[in-house]
Amino acid sequence: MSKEINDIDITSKVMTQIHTEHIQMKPKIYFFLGSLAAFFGLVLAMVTSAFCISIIYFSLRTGGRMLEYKLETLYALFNWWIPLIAIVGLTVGVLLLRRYEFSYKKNFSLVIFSFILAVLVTGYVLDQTGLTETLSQKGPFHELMGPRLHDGAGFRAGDQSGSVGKGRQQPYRLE
Amino acid sequence: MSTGDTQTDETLVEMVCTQDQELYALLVGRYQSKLLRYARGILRDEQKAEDVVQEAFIKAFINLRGFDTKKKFSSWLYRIVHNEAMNSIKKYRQEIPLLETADFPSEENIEDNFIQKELSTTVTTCLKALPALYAAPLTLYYAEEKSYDEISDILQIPIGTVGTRMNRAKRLMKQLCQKK
Repeated sequence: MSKEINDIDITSKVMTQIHTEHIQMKPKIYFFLGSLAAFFGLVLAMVTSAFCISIIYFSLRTGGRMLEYKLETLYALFNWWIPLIAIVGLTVGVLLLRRYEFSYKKNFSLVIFSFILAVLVTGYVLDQTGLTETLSQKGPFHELMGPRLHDGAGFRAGDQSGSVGKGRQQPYRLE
Repeated sequence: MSTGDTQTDETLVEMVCTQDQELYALLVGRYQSKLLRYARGILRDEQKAEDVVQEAFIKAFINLRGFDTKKKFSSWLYRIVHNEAMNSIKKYRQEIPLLETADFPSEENIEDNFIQKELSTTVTTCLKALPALYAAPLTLYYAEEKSYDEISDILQIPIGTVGTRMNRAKRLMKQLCQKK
């Protein structure tokens, strides 16, 4: 019996709270914009991560002959904000993926794994096609990463060919 | 009989959003008992369960226009209650008190009622000892009569995981009940 009274109370309590506190439903546009923001956020996170990863591939590919100095150079001159942005992008992407229904319908670990793999592959493809280099020379990233990638600093500290910044750099091979 | 009494939940949601907000009382009325029972099963505290359900109804009302009426309203509502209950557990991380009464209604005769009561008392006692992770799918399946698909929607876990948790929950229940 007491439970029944409680049950009846809930309806009146809820409706009273709605009336007295003037609780309003959020407008439909709020949810539409939310979905749109989540979608573009996901795309942006993925593109940013892929781009940053392609820069990492590029930096490692053009690492120079003096491999013994590579780690020192990496520590001293590498643009640490690039992997940081890549990690932030991946994290944001994973968090946004959780908003979508398929993320729990499927195995979420597999969804995350596929997402990270897709970003790594896209980053590799971007690097191989030379798009990263082109973007870094012309795009908005030029100011941030250009000087390091094109003036002989960064990973090219070991480059003694003098051809730095002149066209697409071929990776060195150990002979 | 009022306008919304014969409507489906989803149609009623449409009507609340576009015509009359007062019709929301009908939706609350339809689910308050079920949701209270579910929240009690997870929280094992009458007052907290009531607070959680009330809060869940308010949240559902605020976000009602975000609900996709092509989907099942009950699953959406149970999910809100489940999330609220989980938040409440996290908030008051303490030993969960035991339930004072069992809530397994039966319309059988007196003898059946007695057996049923004995059985439900035993089941409830075992269920009390079960972690919320396993108690939730078990309650949804047996007490709320939800399908695996609906449980998957409510708990936001894959159907396979629902099956796994159900099996583990049953095994745990068996062990717990045999100990009693």
